[in-house]
Amino acid sequence: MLTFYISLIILAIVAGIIGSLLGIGGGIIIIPILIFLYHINIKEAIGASIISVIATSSGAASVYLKDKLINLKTGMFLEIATTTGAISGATLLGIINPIALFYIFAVVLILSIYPMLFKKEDKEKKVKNDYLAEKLELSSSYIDNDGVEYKYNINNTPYGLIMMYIAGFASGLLGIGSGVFKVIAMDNIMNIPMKVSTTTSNFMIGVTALASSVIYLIKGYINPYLALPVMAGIFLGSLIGTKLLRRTSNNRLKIIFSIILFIIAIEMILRGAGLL
Amino acid sequence: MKKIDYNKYISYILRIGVGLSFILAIIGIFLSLNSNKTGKIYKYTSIYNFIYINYMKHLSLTSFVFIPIIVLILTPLLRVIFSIFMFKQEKNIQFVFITSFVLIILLISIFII
Repeated sequence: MLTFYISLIILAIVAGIIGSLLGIGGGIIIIPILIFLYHINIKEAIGASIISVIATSSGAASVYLKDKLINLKTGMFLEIATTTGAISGATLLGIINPIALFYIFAVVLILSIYPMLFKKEDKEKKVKNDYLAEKLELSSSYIDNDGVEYKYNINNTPYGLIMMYIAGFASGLLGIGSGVFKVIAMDNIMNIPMKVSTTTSNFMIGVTALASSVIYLIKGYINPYLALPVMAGIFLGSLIGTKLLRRTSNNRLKIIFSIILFIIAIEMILRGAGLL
Repeated sequence: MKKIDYNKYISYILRIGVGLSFILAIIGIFLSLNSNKTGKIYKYTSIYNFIYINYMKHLSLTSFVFIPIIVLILTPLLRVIFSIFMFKQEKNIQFVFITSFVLIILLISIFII
């Protein structure tokens, strides 16, 4: 038991550091580790991951809230879509064939690589508020590291809501934060600046994960003896990662880990096909 | 009148919840080191069944190791409840409704599904 815990905590810390450095969260990294190294059932791996997702996202959001980077109102409004999506995804997890989960996971993993490598930060976007954004007063501003205040408007809110439902669905089905979909919804679709999108996404992940985690708990996918070391390790790792992030130029790192993530995705496909 | 910074309070809720859960998780890990339990996983029929089996029928190590997980799950829920209060104080009725709606969805996921 001791060796099991120590090895698991160390690997979870590593997953947390990598997830934090790459900005994709530790959940998506720990699931393949649990499956391939510990031969844990995919649904139980997903259950352990979702708990760590709540811890890391809530921890990060608490910092971003103090820095006033999060758009609270937009986050709250979009949570309607992510929570309903998460409930749908978690319910589907109970009936879906595990083989399909391997394929879906591989696709989401590959999708996560793209923004990590090619996304450029856009501080200010010139768009007009749409009807919903105007009515709900969603537009806001944020102060960047350079001390300059950037104001932003929001549009395409209904399409953003649809994408958020998909994000919630992926989170509920795969036990991940699915920040990548949330950022696509806010940054690419609703034209919210990247910094606000990523921080607001973090803020929303906890509530989204809560919607699915209780369903996991009841269905018996959350093994506390597995979830606790995974959560503790990933949480510690994400704290270390955040500190390292300030000192590391991580472009090369991103390329290396993108390749690793791609290989893991291929392994997932092979496992799904019964070839591994 | 000075505007109250609610962001700060939400931040505290998240910090305290995650911090408490982390401490309890470490205690839980230490307690289960000698148990040689990788955990027999039960399927429950509902949240009431989960509470009954783990906290009313009998208390066990599993009852304890579930506590950090429950604390963690309740943290974002508390954040949503506090947000409703925050929007009410700001007299933003639209967002009192929107956030209450999110709370209802969460309560459905906990107590009904």
